[in-house]
Amino acid sequence: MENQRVPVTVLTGFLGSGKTTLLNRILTEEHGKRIAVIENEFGEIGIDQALVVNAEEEIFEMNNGCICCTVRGDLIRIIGNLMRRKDKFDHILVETTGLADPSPVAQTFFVDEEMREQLKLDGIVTLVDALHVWQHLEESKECQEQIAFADIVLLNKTDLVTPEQLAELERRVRAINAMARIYRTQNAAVEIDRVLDIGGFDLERALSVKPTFLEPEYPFEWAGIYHLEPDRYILTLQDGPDPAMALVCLPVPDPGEASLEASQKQAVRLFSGRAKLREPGQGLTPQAALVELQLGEAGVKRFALEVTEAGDYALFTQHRPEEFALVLAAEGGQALQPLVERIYEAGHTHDEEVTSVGIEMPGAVHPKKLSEWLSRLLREQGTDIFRMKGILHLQGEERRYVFQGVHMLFDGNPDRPWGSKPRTNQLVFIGRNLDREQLTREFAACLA
Amino acid sequence: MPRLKDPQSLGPRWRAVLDDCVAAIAWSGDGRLVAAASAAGAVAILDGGSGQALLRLAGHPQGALCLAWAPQDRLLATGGADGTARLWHPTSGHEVAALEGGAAWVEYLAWGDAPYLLATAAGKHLKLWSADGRLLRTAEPPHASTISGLVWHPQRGRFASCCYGSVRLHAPLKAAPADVFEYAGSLIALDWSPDGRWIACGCQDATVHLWEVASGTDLQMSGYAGKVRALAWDPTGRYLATGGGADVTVWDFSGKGPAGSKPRILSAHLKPVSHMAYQPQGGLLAMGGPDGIVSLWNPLKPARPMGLARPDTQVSALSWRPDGQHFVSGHTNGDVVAWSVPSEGRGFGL
Repeated sequence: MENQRVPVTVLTGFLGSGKTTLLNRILTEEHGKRIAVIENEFGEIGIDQALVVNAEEEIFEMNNGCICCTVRGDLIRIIGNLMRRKDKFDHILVETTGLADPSPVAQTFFVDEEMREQLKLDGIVTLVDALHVWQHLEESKECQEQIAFADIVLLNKTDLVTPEQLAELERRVRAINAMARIYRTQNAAVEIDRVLDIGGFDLERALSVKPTFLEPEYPFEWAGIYHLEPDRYILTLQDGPDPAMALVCLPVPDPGEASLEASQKQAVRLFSGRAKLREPGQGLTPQAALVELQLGEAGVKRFALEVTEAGDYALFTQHRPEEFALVLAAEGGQALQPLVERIYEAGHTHDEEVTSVGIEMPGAVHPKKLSEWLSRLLREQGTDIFRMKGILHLQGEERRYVFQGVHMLFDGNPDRPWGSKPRTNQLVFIGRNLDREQLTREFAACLA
Repeated sequence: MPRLKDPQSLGPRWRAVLDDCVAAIAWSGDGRLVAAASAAGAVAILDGGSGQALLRLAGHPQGALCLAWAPQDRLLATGGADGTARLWHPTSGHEVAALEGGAAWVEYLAWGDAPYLLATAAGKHLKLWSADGRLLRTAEPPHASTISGLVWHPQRGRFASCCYGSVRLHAPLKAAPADVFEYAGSLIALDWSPDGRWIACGCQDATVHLWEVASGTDLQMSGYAGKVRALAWDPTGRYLATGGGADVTVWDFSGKGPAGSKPRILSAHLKPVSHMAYQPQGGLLAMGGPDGIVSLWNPLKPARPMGLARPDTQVSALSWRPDGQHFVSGHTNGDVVAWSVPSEGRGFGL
């Protein structure tokens, strides 16, 4: 039955973000899919195709006044009609108006039983005008919500901004929505397979794009890998903004990205432990331990680093090295340059209103506890939680339990068996005023 | 408890096939013809006795959505996704007129018989036309949202239309509604009791909402499994059959009315019933839905259906022959099947 459900892609984005360009690509390019398009009332596609329908947004609230039961009545009517001819198309694409709140359209596929039975929400694709989005982000909650709801974000019109602006935008989008896949495009040029039939339901695929997104913001802001010979090295720091700085120095097998990724996970764990304090003049050695340099006194501060084996070493620092003009050098020698380095964004440095919280935790989930928690959470915070997705290991269930939700609406099913894969739980919440610690603690309490 | 026997099979009287899903179907007033509109756009005129195709009307390029026979079968009106309603001469196939409905889809049509005119519903616009295709009136103001139901009541001489939030009554030659009944919900099905007393609407929020036309007072039935897409009054106006789930609920409006009364439950379908029609004379009720089952009931004997068939293709349209001897079902695969009413008693085998 599941396979017979027709996938629906929802296309959102402000006026000028490139929705029509993308729609025209989807309708004209050869991709072997037959797509029925429901374009918005201001749509600009010539309607000479039988499977392009122009819809005027009609938002229907239910009599009980629940915001989460708000649906697009026009879509129920039009799709109901289209579905009589479902042998004529494989996919439905719904374009929303620029200022649309994505909730009603997404909820339509959960609330109406006929829609839910016949269709599945494959994904929400949000186009972002890389040049003008900053203004929209400031002025409109719809813009934030469109990004927050997305499974795919296309940063479009990248030719109109500098690489730095683009990187900043990507970080901003990522801070709102840690779950979405982000593509950079010009003229909305993207492979159709990347936006259609993405299986929005499949969190695992989202994870494969950015496997670390479930982790919270990093406790360090910088990492670098140095090649060090056996010697005595000196870390020199000038006066900086903080009276102390934690760091970890670890041996790594090579200066590659993979090594950095692996050691970064270890460093996250070490940073959550207790630090050994070091006063200026004291020494440290490369080892799996957290060290906190005491920087309270004024003037230049030096710490010795004793290396006994030649090799590559990763250094993770709580703050950016330039904040303290940090220099690593062999005693009496030149300043060393790292072979690779990486800057980490502290997740919440600028208090975003809409954020993502990811939880990854091993252990079997007690179904009843989970359901009680989720019902309470959604009852109390459903209007603030835009989307959630997860893959769970339910106690006594050999298959992965996969769910997604929009506001207070929830759709979950067991899918394939875990097999030999490690059984773990992964959840993502996207919304307003989310409390990461509370969500993590409450989920942990649902473990059997 | 004795085991109930399987219901008697309904036997098809004849079959016909359209090129696509049957979007709408209606038996002519004299019972001689069946008009069947296809979702691909063409409209077939079939012989009511044999199902043989007599005429194929070009219909609507983007697909047909609805059709209605004029009083005395003088014309056939069809509505489609090309934004038009079209009038056809039913025996020659000649297209008499094409009427601009005012929005992308003309979804509902209803003929009035006194005076003789046609109402079309497209988007928010209700328009009234003379039988030769002249626009007489456009209802003002436009409806608040897309019109989701339209019927004519011959005794009351009014059209009733519904949309999200309200039901409107329209006198044939006036632009402004004669009456408006409000309810803050999405009304998706509409039927006016033949005695003129009640207007019933099926709602998206899994309720049935009713207004007493004379007083405007309303009442609501809740507890349905899902949205109520289908409802039908029996010819006397005493019984209202409502969908809203695989089980059909029949309410009795005699005496003190349905409030607090226990309805009859007709239980044979596997999925929510989407189409339902009472026999024009007599009390039988035909129904069908996405489970591909067609069933016929005497709702006063709700234990089991009088007859049942499993064509295994979704029911997408239903119409009784006016004499009540046969009814016809249209299906999403294009099948049109006429069914005979089993003679009462036969097959009960008690």
